[in-house]
Amino acid sequence: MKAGDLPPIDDPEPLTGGELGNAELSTLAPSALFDLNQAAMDDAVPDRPLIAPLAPMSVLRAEYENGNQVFVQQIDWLGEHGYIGIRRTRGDGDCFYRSLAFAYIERILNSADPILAAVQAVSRLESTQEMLEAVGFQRLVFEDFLEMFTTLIKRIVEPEPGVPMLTAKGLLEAFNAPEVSNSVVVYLRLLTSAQIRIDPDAYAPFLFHPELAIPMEPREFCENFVEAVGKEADHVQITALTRALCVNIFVAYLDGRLRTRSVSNNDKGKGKEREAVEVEFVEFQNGEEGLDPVRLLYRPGHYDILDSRCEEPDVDMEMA
Amino acid sequence: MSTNCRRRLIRDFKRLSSDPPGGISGSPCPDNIMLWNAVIFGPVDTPFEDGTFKLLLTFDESYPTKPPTVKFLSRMFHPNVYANGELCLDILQNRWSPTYDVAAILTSIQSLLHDPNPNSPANAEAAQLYRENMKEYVRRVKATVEESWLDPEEQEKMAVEGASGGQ
Repeated sequence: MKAGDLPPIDDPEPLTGGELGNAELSTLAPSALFDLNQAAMDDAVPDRPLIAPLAPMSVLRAEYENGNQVFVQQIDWLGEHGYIGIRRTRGDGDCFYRSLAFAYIERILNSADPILAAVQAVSRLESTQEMLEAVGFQRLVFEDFLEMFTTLIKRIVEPEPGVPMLTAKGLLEAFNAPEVSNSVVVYLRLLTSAQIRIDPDAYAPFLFHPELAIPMEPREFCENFVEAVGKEADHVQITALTRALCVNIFVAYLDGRLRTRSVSNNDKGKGKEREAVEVEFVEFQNGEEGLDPVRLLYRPGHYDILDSRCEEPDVDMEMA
Repeated sequence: MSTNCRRRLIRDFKRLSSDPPGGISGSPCPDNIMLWNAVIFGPVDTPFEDGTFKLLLTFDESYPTKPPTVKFLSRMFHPNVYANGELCLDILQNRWSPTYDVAAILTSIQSLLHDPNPNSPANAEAAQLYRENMKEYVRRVKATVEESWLDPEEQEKMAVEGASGGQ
């Protein structure tokens, strides 16, 4: 676990009482403080869409040019390895789930046989309901969220009357509509939680409080750090969710660290060590066949989507 | 208005009226489904026993992705309830999950009544008495129990008199 990599988590405790030494803050009601905090966070990312259109990696590079040069070199490394584009997500704590969901559907759209892939995905998702019920979630709690998710994927095959077929553009619009986007995120959170709860022995050794680093019971961990809106995902959640969805996912860690690496024998025939800038991909393999893995980019505290394209495909290309 | 939000509120109401957890009740205002009045009965064997505490729940379009705002209308004396009736409860702030419905929210508040969290005080005096002078704490809580039986106008009058009397 990399507790230090997680974004700060709102902790109500330091905000109360007079110890804070900030009379103005301490007199605010918790809801007011929460709003204030939320507003500050919204300000920090002005008008960032929930999921942005594709942008060239150079946009991200420009943000690091005056900072840590290892980051810059890692971004260049990604570019050299074909990852020339990035689709950024809002840093609201839901970014892993939102990125994964978007990439999951986009991959179906772009697959060789989108209809088959869509049908398989819908059937997979619908089959997960049993697991949610088995761990005690009530159908009425999750069915609306699931329906929102599957309706979106079904638009690839046969949209409801009056609704257009799903295109890349339509997918981006859907993910920027909070009701649709957040419903999908919520379903993925519940699915992650169910996967951990139904197989607690597999996850228990890895369930730690992200700040206090103390072990937690599966139920407590899930309620606090999986089901709760805005709580970022770490390795455990990613493992559980990708297993539940049967999806392969590669996460590129942009961490600003140099790695010592032995130069491979195929290279120059010598096994000597050197410091090298590269980007590690952590692979979550779940035996999925036929589709490319989902590729995400992790920077401490945040996930975006990696892409080998640097701009949105235009409509003509989509029709072709 | 978001259909998801409306559908969910209707279901919350159905669930709350068909299978109500003990000691709580709630319903939307007849002309506005986004505003709910609720009552929590003080749990037995606690200083809050026999109290009928009224609350107002305000929902917006983002429910159930975001929590409603919840406020006591009855005057409360509790370590985690502010003077204006707002309360300090993790599931309504940074631990919200759409798995909580109105019944779950009210049940959590009910259990907060007899199981306060003095580490996160919204009412410093109540928190201190709870820790250091249980007898006085119980006396003060019981006063709010009696007030809770009055209708809101009478309660307001008493609160004004209580405030001027205390100075």
